[in-house]
Amino acid sequence: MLELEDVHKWFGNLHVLKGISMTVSRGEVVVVIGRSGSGKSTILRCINGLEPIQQGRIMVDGEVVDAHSRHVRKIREEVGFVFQSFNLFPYYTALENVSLALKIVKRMPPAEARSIAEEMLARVGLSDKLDAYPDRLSGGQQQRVAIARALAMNPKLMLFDEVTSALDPELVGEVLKVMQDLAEGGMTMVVVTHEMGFARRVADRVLFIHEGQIAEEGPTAQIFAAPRNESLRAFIESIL
Amino acid sequence: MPELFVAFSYKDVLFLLQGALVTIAMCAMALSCGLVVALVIGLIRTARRFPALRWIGWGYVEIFRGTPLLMQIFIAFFGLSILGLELPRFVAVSIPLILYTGAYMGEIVRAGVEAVPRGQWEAGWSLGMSYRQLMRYVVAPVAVRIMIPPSVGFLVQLVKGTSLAYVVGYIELTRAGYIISQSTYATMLVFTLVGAIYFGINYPLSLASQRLEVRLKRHA
Repeated sequence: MLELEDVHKWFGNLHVLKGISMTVSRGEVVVVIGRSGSGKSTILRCINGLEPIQQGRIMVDGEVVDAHSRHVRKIREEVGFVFQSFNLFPYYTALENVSLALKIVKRMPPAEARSIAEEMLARVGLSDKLDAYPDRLSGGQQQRVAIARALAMNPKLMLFDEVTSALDPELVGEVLKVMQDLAEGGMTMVVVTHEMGFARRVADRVLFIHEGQIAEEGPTAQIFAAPRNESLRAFIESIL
Repeated sequence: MPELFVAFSYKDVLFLLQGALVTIAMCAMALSCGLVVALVIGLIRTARRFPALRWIGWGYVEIFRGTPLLMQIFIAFFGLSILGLELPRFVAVSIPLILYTGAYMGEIVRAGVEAVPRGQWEAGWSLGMSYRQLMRYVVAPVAVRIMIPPSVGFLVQLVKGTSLAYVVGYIELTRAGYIISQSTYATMLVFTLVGAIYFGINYPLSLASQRLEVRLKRHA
């Protein structure tokens, strides 16, 4: 489903990704952990072409991601992205946020787009907020709308970039719950997070990124129970 | 006192109002065509991928903002006829106003587009939107709201700026006032009236913009 081969990324002189290679199979949930600035968010942003890479190759479902080509738009339709800061469109209601891309990108008739949007918002538990504007929603609700917006496009792969980091602690649970449901429904997911509890419950595999490289990867249980890498051990201790 | 206004009749007032209509027509022309120019300038100034276009936009803005409107009117009005281009006077005075509007409003468009948070762009891109879709459905709703106050500020300036067309003898509101003051000697009265008419054009614009701002501010 997703394949990265020796991906390198520079921001100017700063070498942020130093040869990342990974694969994610259909239906797999991979959690990416690591310290701030380790490059984990950058990996996600490269996967859907928000950031160009300078070396290596990224393939989504057999197609090469090239941030500069027009074709990247087709790939983005199939890759859902959920941001740390929600990024809902402020002048659209929850329903419109979810249906907008269906109408203009997928060119769906309004009635069809609306019914899909209603279905997605029901799935994230927001059927009573269809006509609410983002400024009337809590952070957790906004993030669930953002998830519904990405899901509506019927993506093959979902990317989550620290989606609970901007939330008040009491709102984290409702978002993680939606993500867990999604994972149990068989969605292929790459999740960058600091929520170790979520990683343990939901992830099939964990990647530890350290200084732009995959320092360790393995089945979730093994990563937490028996970390081999010294910096991973220190990281886990610092978090738990 | 009264003898000062002896020659001042309702015909003079009509003449002033006619001038005011010309002023309004010039503004409408400058604004409608100038907005098209502004949109082009604003968008190429924010085009990350095309540095050459950005430089052209930058040069345009600097030239038209960095020189007096009065001089631009002179050059357009007399320069074009020297080049053998005999345009109707209304068009000849409108051209510099359009270019001037394009430069100032172009900057307002640029600032509006740049003020839209990066996350909005990324959200649109990640949903597979094209540049045009993103601009129209995601960026514009946010940017236009940001652009309203400075745009009205500019529009008020434009209404007053059209008075400079009097230097080439074009009869708009200010020139009309000048002509009447010459024939009636009621200079103070005439120019007070002229000022009041300018104010009467501008004040409703400010009011309308305040209302619009309040209305659009919901959900921000």
